[in-house]
Amino acid sequence: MMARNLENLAADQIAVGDKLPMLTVPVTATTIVMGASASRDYQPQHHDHEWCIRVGLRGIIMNTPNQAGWMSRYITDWAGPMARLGRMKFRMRASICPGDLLAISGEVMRVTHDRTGCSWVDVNVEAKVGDTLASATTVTVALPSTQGGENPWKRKADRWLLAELAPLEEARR
Amino acid sequence: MTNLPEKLEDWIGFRFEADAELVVEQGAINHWLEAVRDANPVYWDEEVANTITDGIIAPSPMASTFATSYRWSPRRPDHVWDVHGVEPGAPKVWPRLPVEAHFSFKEFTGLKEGIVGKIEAEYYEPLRLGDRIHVTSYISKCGELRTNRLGTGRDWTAVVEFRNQNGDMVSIDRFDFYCYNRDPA
Repeated sequence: MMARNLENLAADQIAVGDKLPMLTVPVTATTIVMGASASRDYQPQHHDHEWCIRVGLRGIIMNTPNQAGWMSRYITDWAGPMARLGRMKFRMRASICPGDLLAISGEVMRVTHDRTGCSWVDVNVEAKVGDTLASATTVTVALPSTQGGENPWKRKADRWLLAELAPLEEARR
Repeated sequence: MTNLPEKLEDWIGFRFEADAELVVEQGAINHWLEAVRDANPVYWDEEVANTITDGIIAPSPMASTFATSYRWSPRRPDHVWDVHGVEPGAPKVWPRLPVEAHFSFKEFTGLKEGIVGKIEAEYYEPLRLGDRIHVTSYISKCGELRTNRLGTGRDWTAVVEFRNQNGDMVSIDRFDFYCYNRDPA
């Protein structure tokens, strides 16, 4: 697990192709149930093992909001607390179950600057169990352009131009 | 309960609106941080949060958490939030936040099973302690019946918009579902 990070990355310190440090998560039933509880998701596939076996799953499965939480943490562990998430796109490929060792890795795919000077970084994040891709996520995060540059959290709606960003697909390989 | 559309095409854009039962609060945020071991101080350290985010905020993906109805509440003790029939016969909460549009549309189509293929989320104004979310959900598009290895069903996209009590957009979730009935063997 990474330690608490109070340092902030700036966009000018990042280049396309940069790799984020890998995060590994030993997944237990507690991991999955706690994630479901924390996201208030009481659907049986996230806590009821017998129900899961009955419907053909290999066990209880990690829910998507919890995966979003891991992704959010992964990005801000790397970029620091000034990193402000703009958007995420998830594609679920395979279930994540107790006993899995989840390996989360990321790569910078694009760095852009909008007309108000906000710097945006697109990161592809893969969550794998062994060689199996469990989920593919693309994250767009705003960072200060330079060290000491404008904190993205200070931007109000009129300077938070998500709608003008290029589609995430264009940042993917 | 709202009068629901009678034709499939009338469901596209038909909006369900409701205020969430929950208020954004530190205990729920801490539980989220506990689950993913997230030490980002803007979620819990007032001094740091005051500097960076003008006060403690919730993690961006938490809007749906604070918008999901209580499974049971003393304010409506006879109703249970149960969309999977775990408690058959129990009177159901209405609306089933946050994705009532999806649940209602699924019932309208008679398609029993559903899987999510893709989710897109956009994040705007951060959630702050004391906020209460207003939820809007609707079906934005629906495909024709098709058959695959799972069964016969339809693809549709359900959109959920989360606004704070001031009407500011907090986040938008878009879910791409494939809902289907298993074909007879």
